[in-house]
This record gives sequence, structure tokens and C-alpha cells, in this order.
Amino acid sequence: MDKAESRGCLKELERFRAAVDRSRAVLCRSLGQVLSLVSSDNELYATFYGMVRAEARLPEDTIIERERLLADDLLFPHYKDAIRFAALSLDGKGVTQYGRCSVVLADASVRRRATAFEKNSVDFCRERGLGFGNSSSPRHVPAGYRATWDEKGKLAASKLEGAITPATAERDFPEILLDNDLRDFVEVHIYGPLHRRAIASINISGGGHPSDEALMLEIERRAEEVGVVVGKSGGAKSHGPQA
Amino acid sequence: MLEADCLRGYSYRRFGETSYYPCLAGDVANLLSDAPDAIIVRSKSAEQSYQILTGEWTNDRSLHLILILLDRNSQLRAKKIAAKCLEEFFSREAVTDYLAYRLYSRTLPDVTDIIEALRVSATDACRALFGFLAELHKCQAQIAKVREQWESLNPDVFAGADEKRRFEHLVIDEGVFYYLSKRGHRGFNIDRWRDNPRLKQFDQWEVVLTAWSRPLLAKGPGRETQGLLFDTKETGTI
Repeated sequence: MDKAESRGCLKELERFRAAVDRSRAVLCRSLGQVLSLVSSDNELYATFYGMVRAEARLPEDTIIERERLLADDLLFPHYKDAIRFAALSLDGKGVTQYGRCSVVLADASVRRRATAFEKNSVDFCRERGLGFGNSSSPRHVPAGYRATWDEKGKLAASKLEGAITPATAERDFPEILLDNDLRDFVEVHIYGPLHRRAIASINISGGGHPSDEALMLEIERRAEEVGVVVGKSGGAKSHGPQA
Repeated sequence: MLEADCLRGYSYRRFGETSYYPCLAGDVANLLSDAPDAIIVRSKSAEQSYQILTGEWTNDRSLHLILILLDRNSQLRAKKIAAKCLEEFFSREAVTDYLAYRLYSRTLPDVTDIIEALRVSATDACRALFGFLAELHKCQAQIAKVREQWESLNPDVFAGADEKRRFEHLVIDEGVFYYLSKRGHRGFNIDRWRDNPRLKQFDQWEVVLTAWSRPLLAKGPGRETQGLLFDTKETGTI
């Protein structure tokens, strides 16, 4: 706050914090994953899709899994399997590199079971050597990087204070909060499963394979059953299958 | 598709695109987040991995499409697109096997309208799909019998209900339900799975398959096998 005041942008920072207080948790998934999510009450899906590789598990000895496990053990000891990851967003667009359907979660469905975290938790732990390396590596996440859902605005303002200037306008806030080019975002950790009734809206960008349209129509129909609005943006980019 | 290189770090490529995008280890978990079907592919080259993953994507997409086509409540436009794309995917034998192995594991639930699905695919452009659906429709009674017989197998033989469920997923994936329902009586041969390394993980696989399939064949199982394998509370006195 002091820094922002000395730079003459305290008012802008306050507005940014207030805007982030109203931000939503957004997760990005492929069309197929979103169709499965909005079909969670559908008998056909429960019968025939629920069995897809139900017994499959990634071996835990891959580098990726090891790093994920180290971060998860530090942040979510004994309950890591119950955590879902999302990002804070002001415009309903998530980290689209992770999947081109941005699923905006209803505030009421996450507020009592979500926390906001400084950034991608694996990168955070690795950058600080938390749990990595030898046995003397720090084993605790330092205070000040995780906030309750109601204090997410304060966390984001503290993280992104340097990006706010006296010239920053409201329209700049979404990209400051979630920078898709740098994949820099405030990570949201949600405890427990997600049901289609937890969804507020869905934004689908781009389009590739001709079969995508059938999936999109179905997502729209099934989302409508629970009052979820589906928006589309962007055109076809390629003709091969896409995630 | 993800690639890890000791010098360049991680990168990923989307299906249908040729460029790779750099990513960090932290992104990888998010890229695969909640995916129920993440697999590790061992191959000789990136291109070979890409081909394998394209096949996996096609299987998964085909399952979505056939469920759309079968759902009584899906829009007609969605069903028509699904039928057209499925016919294209059916040129890969692996796709028909993948779908058949799953769809023959249980009878179609009430929300299904297979007659409508047949009507939508009754065109010259969807012959393979029409044939597949017609056969699936015809086999429903046999699928019910195979399922009923499976449910009556005593979970104790599998060392509990969880293990029985695990074995069930495996036999679906390996097509055992399909071969029992489709080939049934005369065409089913247990030797087909004798060298299958996944089934062999279960000590009792052969005993189970024999006991499961025998009542479905013309001649019933012996009293001893039945007493060992079937829950008499469900099946009544043998």
C-alpha cells in the first residue's frame, strides 16, 4: 500500500483489490471433459463413460508426479486428492492453454471451500526450493501467499501492486490478474468434487474438428437443464482433433 | 502431447497443430488436471507417440459421439453430426472395438432411443454405423444375460468387491463382455486371453472366466464350481 501511495496509484490499487474481490474461480478443460462434467446426472454417461480407464493411474515415479506430490504434500497434507485447481478471473476466461472451455464456478458453490494462492503452486514451491532438494529444504509454505476466499482481493493486490500504475483503467484489470501469455495467475484450490450445479457459466473458444459442434450442442443442452449459460468465441483454427 | 527434454525442458503440442509450446513443470499437472484417462506412452519417436495419442483421442471422441447419438434427448442436429463423424471414425478397426467393448458391457438404459439412432444413421453414408447399431440392438437380451451372470459371481472369489470392480473394468477393456454377448454360445474361447498379461495379474482369472462363461453355454457348470463361485442368496438353490 505504501509503495502504491508513493507511486501515486493507491486509488487504482484499491479499485483493483475491490474488483478481484468479485472475481470468480475458472477452470479450463477440453470439450470432452466439460461434456462429462455437465453430464454427471445423465444415465447413459454414468453407465458407459464412467468406466473409461477407471482403473488407470499415472505411475507416481515420473518427474512430473514427483513435483506435483511434493507441492501437494506441503500445501494439502493428507487431503491432496480432494483438491481441484482453478484460477481467479475477472472476465470469465481462464488459463486457456489448459483447455479451451473456461468453466466459471458459481461463487456460492466454492466460497466455503476455496482458498486463493499466489501462483501455480508447483512453480511456487520449486522457485523457493520448498520440499525439493535435500532434507534441509524448507518444509513449510511461508505466510502471506495464501488467502481465504473473502480475502482474495488483498492477496492479488499484494502480488500485483507493481503492475498497477496511475494510468491503469478497469478494463486492464482482467489481464493483470490473469496473464495468459506468461501463464501467470492466482491459483484457486477448491476442496471436494465439482458437480454441474457448481457451474455459473461456460465460455468455449475456438473450434477444430467437425465433431466439436456435436459436443458443443450437447454441452449447451445439458448446461441449460441446470440454468448454465454457454458462450462461444473465436473461429475454427485447424481441422485436426484438439484438446 | 507433452514432451520432456533434458535441455529444453517441457513442451506441449495440441492435436491438429504442428507447433510445440514451452511449458513449465507446474503447467503439466494443470494440463492433465482431472483427466481420468492419462496414460504413459512408450514409443520410439515423438511422431509415433502422436499417432498413438491420436488413436486414443479418436476412441474417446467416438464414445462421446455415440452416447450423443443414443441419447433420447439429444438434438437431432447433434445426432446427425455425430453419425457422420462416427462413420468416418469407423474406418479404424480400433474404434469399433473400443465402442463395442464398452457398449456390450451393460444393456442400454431407459434414456436411450436406439430406434431413433438407427433412423438417423439409415443412409448410404453411414452403413458401418447402421450395422453396428443394428447388431447392438439385436444383442440386448444376450447382453442382459451376460451381465446377470457377472453380477451373480461371488465377490469373495476376487478377494472382495473392490477387486471384483477392478477386474470388471479390465474385462470390459479387454472385450470379454463383448465376446460373451456377441459370440456367446459357440464363438467364445477362453484361450483368446490365455497370454493376456493384464488378466494374468489376477490369480483367479481363468477360474472366473470359466465359471462366468459356462452357464451361458449350452451345458451348465458342475455343482462344485457353482457352489464355489456363485452367491446362492442371489441365484437361489442350485
